[in-house]
Amino acid sequence: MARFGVEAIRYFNHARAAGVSTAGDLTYTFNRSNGFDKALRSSGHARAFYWSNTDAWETDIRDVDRGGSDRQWVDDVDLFWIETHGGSEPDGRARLLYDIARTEWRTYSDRWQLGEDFNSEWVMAYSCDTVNLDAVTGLWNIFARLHIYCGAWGSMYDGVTTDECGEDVGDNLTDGDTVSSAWHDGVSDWWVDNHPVTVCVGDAATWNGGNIRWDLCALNRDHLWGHGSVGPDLAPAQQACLLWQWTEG
Amino acid sequence: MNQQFLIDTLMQSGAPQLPARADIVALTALTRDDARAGMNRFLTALHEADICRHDRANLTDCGERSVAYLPDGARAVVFHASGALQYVSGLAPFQAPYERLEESLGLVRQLEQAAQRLDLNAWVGERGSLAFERLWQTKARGSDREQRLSNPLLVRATGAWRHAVGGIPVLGAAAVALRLAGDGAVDALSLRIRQSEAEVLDTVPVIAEELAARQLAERLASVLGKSKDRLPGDVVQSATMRFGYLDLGKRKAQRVLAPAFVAQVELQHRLERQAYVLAVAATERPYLELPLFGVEAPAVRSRGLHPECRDGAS
Repeated sequence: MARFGVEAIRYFNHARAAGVSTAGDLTYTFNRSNGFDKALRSSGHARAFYWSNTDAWETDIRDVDRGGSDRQWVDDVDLFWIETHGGSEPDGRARLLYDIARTEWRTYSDRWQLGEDFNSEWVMAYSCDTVNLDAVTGLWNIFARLHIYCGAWGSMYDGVTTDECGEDVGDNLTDGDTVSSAWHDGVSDWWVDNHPVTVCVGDAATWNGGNIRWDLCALNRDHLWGHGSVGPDLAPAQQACLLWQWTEG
Repeated sequence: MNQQFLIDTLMQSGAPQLPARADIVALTALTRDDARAGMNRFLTALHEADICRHDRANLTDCGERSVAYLPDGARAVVFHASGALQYVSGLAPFQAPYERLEESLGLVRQLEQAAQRLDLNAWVGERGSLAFERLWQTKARGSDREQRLSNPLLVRATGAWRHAVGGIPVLGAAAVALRLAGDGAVDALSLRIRQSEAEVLDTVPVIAEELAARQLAERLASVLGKSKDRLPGDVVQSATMRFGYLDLGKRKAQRVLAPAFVAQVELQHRLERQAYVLAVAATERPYLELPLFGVEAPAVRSRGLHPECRDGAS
């Protein structure tokens, strides 16, 4: 079974007061995050941590080599779910906002390196704009054996009609969907304009000279531990391509 | 933020003609047996449309849902509180993609034909109707280390339909979402149509559109809170407001369909984009609870000043 961690931020009053951001609070953060947590725990998966609001810190995902403590948190669990405000840079780096500077207010994905200890397989970020579809390869460095990064290439709506998204993702995972499908279907209510995207790395056989063998990639093969097959870890030296799948309406 | 600008934008996006009064419609209170009967009907419909090999299956009770595991890795799910139904095929995500990118019109035609085969209109209930609302496409692409991009691949097409009762749309998640693979196979189907005998409990005046827009703007203002920097007037990227009944979600029981105004607002300022769905009752007397904020964080001990503590693990 899987070990997972959750971080969710609803209030951004400290970031606003500090002039770091003008971002508003999120209204249904904990409906989604608690729902995800509940779905996984009720299927026997183990929650390693659940940090909320100012207990969620950017150092939790920042690589140890870059002064962070990911080895004890995000890089220590199979699956990590985070909900906060997000964004991306023109060079493809993802960006997440926190409500406390421990030690910084924002994290940038060029300081992430996940899966180094063979633990972290999947990261899910319910946040706007955490993947720049014009520069997806700017995320490559995060895949130090990480399998799939699930994010958004545009808005992700917060409100009364998207409150079940977290539980939907969790139920999909434990019902046996692939991780990628669980994300795309779970965060889509097919009404509001959510923008799910999933990103993985592939080896040379998967890239296949540009004629991609999609059947071999983690987006097609990876399930949550205990609910189907999981593809192999790919060390950076084995990675020949970056692959992504997105839903647009 | 310029609140009046937001109010004006919301009003401009609203329905051209609002009804002066709207019905409060009773919904059928579901028992678990009712939900399971709905599942049997669903499986029969899938079987008759040659989507599922069996029209019966053993249901596994999973708390608020029952799940039927079907041949070939497929499954069907019913939610006890709402009667919402889901079918997911056993196709692997990249099995049977489309051979090429398709024109939207062609995909919509395929989806509508598939919907006809499934006889989706049989689910709309008294005074109900179903209208195609939106096409979604799931695509995939890759790049190698030299930044050489593959051609995009169309993996799945999903059609969304909106349910209406007495001509008033039921807002919220799509009433029907039908996902097709490239070979035309039904890869997934969800039905979120609440059962009703269309009994009208009351007919009540609808509040003025401007009042609703003002209430929605106030809700947004309270979410945005106070900031060191003032939000500029052009922070609103898009804002729409719709009038309709509101479905509260497949995991929630609901006694009535009652009219509401629902806004979708996107904001962008400096580094953060934000997207909110906000709802207010369209009647003076509220028939549904529409809280601005959801539940709170779970009760776990604070992390305090010890960064390595694991108190959140309980």
